[in-house]
Amino acid sequence: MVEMKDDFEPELREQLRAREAPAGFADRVMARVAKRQQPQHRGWLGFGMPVWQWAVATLLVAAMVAGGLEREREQREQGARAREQVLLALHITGSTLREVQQKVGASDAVHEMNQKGAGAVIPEKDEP
Amino acid sequence: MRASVRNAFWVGLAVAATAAGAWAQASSPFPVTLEKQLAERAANYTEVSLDKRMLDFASRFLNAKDSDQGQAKRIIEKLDGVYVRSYEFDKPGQYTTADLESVRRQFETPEWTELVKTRSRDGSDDADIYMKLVNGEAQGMFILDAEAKELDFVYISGPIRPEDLQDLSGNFGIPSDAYALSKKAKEKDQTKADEKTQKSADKTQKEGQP
Repeated sequence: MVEMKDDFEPELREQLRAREAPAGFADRVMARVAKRQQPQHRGWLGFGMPVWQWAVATLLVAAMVAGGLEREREQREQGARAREQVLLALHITGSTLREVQQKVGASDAVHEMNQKGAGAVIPEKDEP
Repeated sequence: MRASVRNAFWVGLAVAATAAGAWAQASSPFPVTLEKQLAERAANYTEVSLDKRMLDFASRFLNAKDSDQGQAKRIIEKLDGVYVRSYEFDKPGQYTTADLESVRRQFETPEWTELVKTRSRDGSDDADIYMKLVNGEAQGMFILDAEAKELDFVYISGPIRPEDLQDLSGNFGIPSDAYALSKKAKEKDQTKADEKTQKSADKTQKEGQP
């Protein structure tokens, strides 16, 4: 059996005795706690980029998408105009061809009638 | 100094690009001065200039399932250009026979065959159809139709097959005998070639005689 020293117990009591904290200790601890609780700039979603950089990137992407859509709309409008022009050009071509053929037909008919000597002579168009 | 040279280069490039674009758009098979004069005198006018690039672009927007648009798409895909000028005047006498001649002159080259020619004293009832034939194939068409208060020119550049004209019959107002016109052009071209050969043969024979 181990014999305990007589002064052990008083010494232990002395060591475990409640002591006053140094002046300002509580304030310093509370200040540190408050500091740790502040949000740190780790970046949105944890990708290491500050929020403002994310905002700029988002704006750029949005501008590119909007630009692309606008360009597509302009192309559609230009295409519609080009299509209308093609149809108009073919329509005028058709009507011009028809008018020329009517003239040729009329001219041929007059010529034929004059050759056959049918009735009154219809004057042909003046040749230059 | 270097920056100013660089800036001048970019400005020059931009000006050149703009000028090239303007030239490409402005290029016309008809006399440009006359076009301007006619446009000034006209009550209404329509000018359509579609080069190969524009035709290709327009073709992408033509609906192949629509009958008119589908046919237009098939035709323009092969063409190099379509140029249409249509002027409507308030009163007669807004153009002269000389004006018409200056337009016709553009197409009076050996490769063009005059197919239809109707003439009137003051030109106000003239009509022309010319076809460009290369190795017997139609490679272009020019139509002129003059009325007292209306004047139309059409120039189609590129291969126009008779079948195309036949396909178009009834659509866009193109008459059903346009196919016959095209055939007539070929026959006329053949006659011209035969006459040329005959003349050449006659000349050779005459030169051979003592």
